[in-house]
Amino acid sequence: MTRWGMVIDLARCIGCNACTVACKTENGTPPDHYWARVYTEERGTFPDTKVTYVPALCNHCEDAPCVTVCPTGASHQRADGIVLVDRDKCIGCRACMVACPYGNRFFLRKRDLKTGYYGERTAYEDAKWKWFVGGTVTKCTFCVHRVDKGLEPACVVTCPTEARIFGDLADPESRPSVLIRKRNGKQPLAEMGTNPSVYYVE
Amino acid sequence: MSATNVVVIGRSQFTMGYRHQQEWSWLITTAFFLGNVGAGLFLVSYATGLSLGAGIGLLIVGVGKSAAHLLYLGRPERFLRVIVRWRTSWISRGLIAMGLLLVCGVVYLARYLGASFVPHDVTVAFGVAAVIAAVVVMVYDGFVLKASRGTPLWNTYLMPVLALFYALLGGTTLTLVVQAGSGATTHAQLEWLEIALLALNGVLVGLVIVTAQARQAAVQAAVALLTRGPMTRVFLGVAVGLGIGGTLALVGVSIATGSVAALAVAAVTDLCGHFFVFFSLLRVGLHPPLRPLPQPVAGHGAQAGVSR
Ligand code: SF4
Ligand code: SF4
Repeated sequence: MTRWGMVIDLARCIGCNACTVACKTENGTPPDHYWARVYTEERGTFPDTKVTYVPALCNHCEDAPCVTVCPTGASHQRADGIVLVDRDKCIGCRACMVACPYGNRFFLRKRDLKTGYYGERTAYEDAKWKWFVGGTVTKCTFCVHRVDKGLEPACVVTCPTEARIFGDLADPESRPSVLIRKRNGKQPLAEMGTNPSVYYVE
Repeated sequence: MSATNVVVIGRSQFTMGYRHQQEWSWLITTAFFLGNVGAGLFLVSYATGLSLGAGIGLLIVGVGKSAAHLLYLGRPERFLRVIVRWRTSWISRGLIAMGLLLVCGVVYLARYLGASFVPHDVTVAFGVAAVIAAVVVMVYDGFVLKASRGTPLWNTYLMPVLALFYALLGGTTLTLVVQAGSGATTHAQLEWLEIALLALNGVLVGLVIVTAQARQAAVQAAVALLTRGPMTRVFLGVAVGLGIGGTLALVGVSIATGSVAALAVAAVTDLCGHFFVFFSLLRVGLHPPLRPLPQPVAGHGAQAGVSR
């Protein structure tokens, strides 16, 4: 059985946020909904400082607390591990947002869809925002519409340094599986017991 | 950990640090609070045979708690879907219990409201079912918090225990008030139960704080905000000082002098404390940073103990 996952190579990420923009363009997410984004992590004190860019997205956790707590069945997990929200079932109780340790869910207020990024809605926003329902929660879909057609997520194909590597974690010979093995891939907040499908290598 | 070391990044989605849960605040606290005290009042009134109190308890749950939930939801018109995931979700279980409490509670009270055609056995059976449902309503919000793994402060069995005993306390307080207000026979034991529950809740709140030291950094950070940070006045001053200390003193005065006025003020301080204990716990709910946090770099944004 396929289990889609991703490895993020922190040694390669240059913090260009191309993935952030690619996700916004592909999915047309409303303002402040960053399904893909890049944290800036600063360590040390001047002059001995180090900046690491840490790309983040929904981890499509195997034991996803967001799915467990959802009272309506709107949050659900497909057999291939992708965690999705059914916008027609969600009641906007936001229990999933509180339960997700990673801050990867976003509440879409009804008023947020009234105006576009720049005040008036553009034709692009009109077209893309048909997919969003005010008063519900949104999250990264692993670009399920692309994956189901055999394509990789938009953030993966856009990344100029190939810092995001997508593949089947259930296949021991897939690129992500090999990278996790060879470079000691680590899951974010593994102590939470969520078993994320996203790993980081440094 | 001191509150000044807690780097809270508020709404920023691009800076590493602790993130406040921003979603559950006044309305959810109100819904939890009204469920707690309404179901608690029903239970204690049932135990003391005070049908007026039981009826008021049902009203608080049926009108107050329901309204707070509906006002909060993003899509209230889909409210009924909430019962679908009862196998895994405590929200589902709690809301089902709430429905059962209302239906069974009304049937139980029907005889007292003049519907003498309701058979005695039916009244007894529905009364017992309503009591079981009331206990679930009293405790489920604690389990909801416990299930929120993303907010480690809440991820402890102390939360359902706290919810249960605060609900019992609120129920006892309101039963005393209804008894005094309606001229019903006052049960002296209830005042002593009130004192015992106040002391027990004080210990439970203390345990939440003390046990944090042995738990993960996000819990210690949240407790630092509660005890030495922006929520300290509300938590230590209102929830603990007024809600527990003040109420204990006033109930003591009421027992010693039989003063109804002292009892009435005690009810206000107790309910205030109850509300603000849970409000504070919700407000300091912190999500941990994605990776262990480095020391804040001076002058570079990460402001101590403050959301931005
Ligand atoms: S990262 Fe959060 S939203 Fe995504 S599956 Fe895990 S718990 Fe759910
Ligand atoms: S906000 Fe929607 S998806 Fe999230 S728990 Fe509630 S019903 Fe489920």
